[in-house]
Amino acid sequence: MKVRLLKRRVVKELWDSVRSNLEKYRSGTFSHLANDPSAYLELETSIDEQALHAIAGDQTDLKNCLRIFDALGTLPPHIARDPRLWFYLTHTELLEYTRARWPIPASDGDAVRFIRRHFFGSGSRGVERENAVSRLWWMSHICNRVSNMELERALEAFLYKSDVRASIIERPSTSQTVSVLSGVLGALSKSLRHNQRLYERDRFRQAMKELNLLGGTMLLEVLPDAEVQNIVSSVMGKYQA
Amino acid sequence: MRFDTQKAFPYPVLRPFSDDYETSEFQAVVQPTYVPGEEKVTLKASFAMSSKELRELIAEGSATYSVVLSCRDTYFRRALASREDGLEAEFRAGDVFGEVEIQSYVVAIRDIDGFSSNDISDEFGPGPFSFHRGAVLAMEEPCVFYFERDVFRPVTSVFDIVQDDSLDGGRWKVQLDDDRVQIALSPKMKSEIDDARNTKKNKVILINSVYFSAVAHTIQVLKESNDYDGYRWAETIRRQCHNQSIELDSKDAYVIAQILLKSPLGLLDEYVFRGEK
Repeated sequence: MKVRLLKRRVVKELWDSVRSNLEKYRSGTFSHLANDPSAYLELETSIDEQALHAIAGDQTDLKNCLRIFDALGTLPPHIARDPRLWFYLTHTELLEYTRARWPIPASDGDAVRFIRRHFFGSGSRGVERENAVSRLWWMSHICNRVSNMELERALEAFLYKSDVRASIIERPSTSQTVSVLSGVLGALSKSLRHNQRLYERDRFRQAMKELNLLGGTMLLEVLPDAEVQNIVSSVMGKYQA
Repeated sequence: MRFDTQKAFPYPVLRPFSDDYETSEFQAVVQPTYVPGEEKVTLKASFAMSSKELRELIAEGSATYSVVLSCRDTYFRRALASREDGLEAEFRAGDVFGEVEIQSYVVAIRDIDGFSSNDISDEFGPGPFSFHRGAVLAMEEPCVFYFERDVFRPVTSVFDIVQDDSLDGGRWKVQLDDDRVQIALSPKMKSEIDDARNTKKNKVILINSVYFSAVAHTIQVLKESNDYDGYRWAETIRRQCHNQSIELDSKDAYVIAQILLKSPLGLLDEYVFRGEK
């Protein structure tokens, strides 16, 4: 199966019809979207369907992150930024998963807002954190850039606590710079196996603050990766003890 | 590292809007170019450093020029370094999307002791100064480029020729209330243009007629109002202007249209006038 993007017209119709489609979201299907080629654009990139269909609501985010990356790991990030790809999946191939992972509230008013957040999601935050499927891909994409660590292990450290995860994502100098990110997730992974102290909110925040101060006058990117990871590791080490 | 004019470094840093150095300047010019068909972006940067002492640090290998590209939307970040006054690099177009910030620096790549310059502000004391490896010694204001497929394609890629049954003869109109600009033609004219646009010569004629007028019209509309903010065509035109350092208010619409369409009259001369001689 090729990657499909819902057409803008279809996205608008779906977005505007969430309330009238509530029953479909709760227990029906949107199979017409997959069966009507005029509803989507097809790209050259392929999806591993077996991996995609292994994504299940009764599995952990960690397992599902690995599966979405098995299914779509070769996707260029600029395409992964297109919400129409993820809207297609939450309404078709991964409708069951989305429903199971993000159970729709009973109240219709709450349900509309909830569906717009987890079956759609808008803007950067929506793509990275709210859409039921894209969030899995983007967390994997971030962790897949970590050097010297298996994706599964990096994800395990990244997913363990949501406020630590948010703290990393919110600091572009940490989440974008591979050597810094690798150092931070390396330290978190060690902490996870030891006493988890680095996951304590105040400790982690202080560690990140110190790292930020250091990055305020140094351009860590020009230093060799191993040296940056040592610098990060020594900062993190102080707060793990 | 965020560029912040209010930020105080514990040592002198040569940068705009700061008097850490009295007269010296560091300037960088960076220009990314999308290479169609190869799905890659090339980046050229050139540097001008007027501080003799900082130039010497670079020449002796204690410091380097560096350019950092950073795309928040894809988490792409790459640092490039050069001891020359310029550098070239390329990367995959798919790695970036939307806003990409490019910032240039001079960075210490060794621990440096005994640095001094008469141009350093007295408030730092007489010196000499020491810098740790990785310390930023000079920085330029960041510049922002937009990397989206439409932004690098010809501006006409967000224009469609469509049929409007209410039109007759050679009348045509421009419709802006959609993600793409629609150039609406009568059924007969639409059919004739569809047949004619298969040759380069006819394409050039179309670019110099309906497309040129339509592009100039959209630019005039964007100059006059924000009503079309968020429309794909409007964002594409604005970002194409931004990437080419064109301020919408600084030039007439027909002049901007010529820039975005890459001087189409020249093509008319090449493919039609001279072609017929």
